[in-house]
Amino acid sequence: MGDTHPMLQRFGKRRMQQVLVLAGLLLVFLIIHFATNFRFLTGRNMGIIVSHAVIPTFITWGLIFSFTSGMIDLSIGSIVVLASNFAGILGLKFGYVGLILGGLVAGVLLQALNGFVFLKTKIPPWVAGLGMAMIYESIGAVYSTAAVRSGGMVVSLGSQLRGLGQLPFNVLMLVPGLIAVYILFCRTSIGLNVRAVGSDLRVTKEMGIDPNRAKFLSMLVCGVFIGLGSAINQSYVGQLLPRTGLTTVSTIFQPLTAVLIASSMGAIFNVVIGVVIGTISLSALFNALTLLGVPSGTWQEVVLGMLVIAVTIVSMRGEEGVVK
Amino acid sequence: MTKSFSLSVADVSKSFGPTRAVIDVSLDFRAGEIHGLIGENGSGKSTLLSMIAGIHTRDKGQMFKGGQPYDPVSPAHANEQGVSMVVQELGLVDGLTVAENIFLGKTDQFANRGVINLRKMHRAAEEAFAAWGISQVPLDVFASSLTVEEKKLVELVRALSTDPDVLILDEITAAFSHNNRTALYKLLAKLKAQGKLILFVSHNLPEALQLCDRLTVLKDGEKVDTLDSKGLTEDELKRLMVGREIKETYFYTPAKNENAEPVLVADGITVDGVLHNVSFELRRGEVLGLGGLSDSGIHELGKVLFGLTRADQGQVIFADTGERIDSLRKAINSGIAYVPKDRDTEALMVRATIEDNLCLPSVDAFVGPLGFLSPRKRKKFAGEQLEAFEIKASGIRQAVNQLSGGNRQKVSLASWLSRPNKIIILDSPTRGVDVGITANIYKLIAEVKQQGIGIILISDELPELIGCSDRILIMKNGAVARIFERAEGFSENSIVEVMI
Repeated sequence: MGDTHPMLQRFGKRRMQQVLVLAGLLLVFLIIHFATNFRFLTGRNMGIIVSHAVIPTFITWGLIFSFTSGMIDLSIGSIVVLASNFAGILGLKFGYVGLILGGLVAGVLLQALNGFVFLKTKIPPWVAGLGMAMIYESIGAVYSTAAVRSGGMVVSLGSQLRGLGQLPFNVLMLVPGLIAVYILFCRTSIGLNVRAVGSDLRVTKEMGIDPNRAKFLSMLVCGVFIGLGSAINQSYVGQLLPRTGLTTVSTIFQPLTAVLIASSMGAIFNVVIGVVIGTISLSALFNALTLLGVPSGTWQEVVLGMLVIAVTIVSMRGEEGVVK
Repeated sequence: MTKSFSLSVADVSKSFGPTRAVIDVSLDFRAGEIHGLIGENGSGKSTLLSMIAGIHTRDKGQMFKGGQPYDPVSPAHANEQGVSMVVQELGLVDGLTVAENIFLGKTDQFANRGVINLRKMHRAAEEAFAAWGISQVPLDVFASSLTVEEKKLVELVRALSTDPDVLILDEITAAFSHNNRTALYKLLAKLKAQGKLILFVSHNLPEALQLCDRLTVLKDGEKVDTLDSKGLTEDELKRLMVGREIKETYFYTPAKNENAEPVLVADGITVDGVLHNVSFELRRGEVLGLGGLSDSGIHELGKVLFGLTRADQGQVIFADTGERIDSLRKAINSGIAYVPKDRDTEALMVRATIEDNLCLPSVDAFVGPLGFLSPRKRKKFAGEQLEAFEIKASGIRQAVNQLSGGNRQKVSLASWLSRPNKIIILDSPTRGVDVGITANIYKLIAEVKQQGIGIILISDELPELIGCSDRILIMKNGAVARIFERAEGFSENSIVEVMI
């Protein structure tokens, strides 16, 4: 039925586009380097940038599973707080094994609970997620209050178990993380079903796939990466104080921006790689703004907000009614 | 039911709310036959086949396959029992690649300890394309980037990849251009020779008569008759389907003035990689047919003419005002109407009501004295169109996604053709539409032409182009290959020669 398809020609283009994106990124980095009086592209600063990107990378890897299946969960930040503290508690008892297992167990269990609530109640996940965030924040506050009442404070690692959150081990964690998330997302039926469910529920059902199972699995896998991110986070900060008033929700914006960056480059890079590029770019952006003297907490967030809008426009290009 | 029949349905019924879609239908299908199901839109063809394919469960009746009770609970379950279907709607997951779509739900065969071997999966997909002689679509691209025709090819490969002994094709040829249609016929002959049963739905009666061994006519959910196609005529079929004689086919009347001034001028239109220096004029009161193979660019040209796609070079001029049509708004304000080919994603708001869909292109006509939309005018207009286009629905408040494919097409047509137009661009207007309404569309085209309106008829159906057009512009690889004048006498062979 016809000859070779013209779209086959696009594959050569893709490689070229990858080179162009990376070259463009390098060019931007060079400009920043000059603008920051040659303080940006130094080995030490690059280490800081990549190091700061590790935790958001793990969280974003988790998000691509739950978001792809349509489970927009806004309680991720509060789960990170609880999982980090639980990782710290187990870490002090069982060392690094406890630290990692603690993060994993808390991440997976809380995401499993969220998945159960989202699927059983059929409430839109982002609404139910806000409710769960309030519950998790309150649990954190109760734990914090109880710790203070008993004369202590929330778990603190002090100088123990801090290696996982520091260079080079935190960056080294990216390698197995990248391999694991790539295999799970792109090379297993779990990832395939998650992508299918998020893209077209009707067709997916007709292909004999149980959408609820796929969505629940996406939450569990998300929990694994959130848990790992939380363990590294606890090791990095040493102590993480619980917060209330839905302030943890804002934690999601940086990973969300990374997801959008990865989506906008979806035709050029695999989304798993796109996430790494996104989180490192964001880390580099904040680093550059700091070096340029832009105050954090105000103008840096303004830049992040503008970036979210810009990246969303790019990622939705080609859709009807969106700015070209 | 006897064992010689490969598949049988007995007294099968299915209702959707108050609508009785299939009523006590009994049919026997033989192995090694191509069995056509024909009927008007909403006659129950797709619903019956969906029950056989496990998409819908029946309310009543029994099904047997190979002499055994057959009771699929899902399409995957039907697949396991040797039944595959290419549905009338699009059936691919846009966010997955072509290879992933083909084996979605069946990837375990390529997995080692849970990890899918992509190379193995791609090789199997390549083999499936090659085995059935279907031109390969790149396996790594997302389905979202494919055309409707390419999607249907992938769906066909997916259906064949399970090596079914019953293959159900619901209006697949409506999406195919001449070349792929010809290849499909060869493929079906091969499958038939292998003893497979093919259940085939098409509104193209000459195609159904030529391809099928037997034809079952359905009307209003009930079986009218099953007949051997040998010796059967198109007129007899039409009578059985519609319940009345449909004599005239294309209602062609010559253009009032063959040398009428142009109403639309396309001047050197180029869209990189798609269209190359396309120039022509559409005259007032003529039907200009656009034809070509799948990669000819005819459908893309329609979008450029309506301002949906911007040309990289060249221009489209609305001759009455000399205005350059480079946006949708300018096209609509100039009185250009466009009925796209892909009704579900481009033509309709499928979740909205019939009333909303019908009224949207003509919304200015319903504004009352205070500037508000008049519900009374909207209701009256929608009701009139529902009747005029014979849309089978429970009322104007019914959601479009609850209608059959053909009735959706009628809504799409009605919404645009009911406006005061100066130019009408119709892309595959009779795609998935039954003979009764097809005749009405042809009649409408002839009537509209007599009002001095210029019509561009884009079609993959050569007989339709020949039957309706005053001139036929054939495109090849994005460029104008030749314009045939009716006065020269249209010959199908000479047109196909230019196409290929």
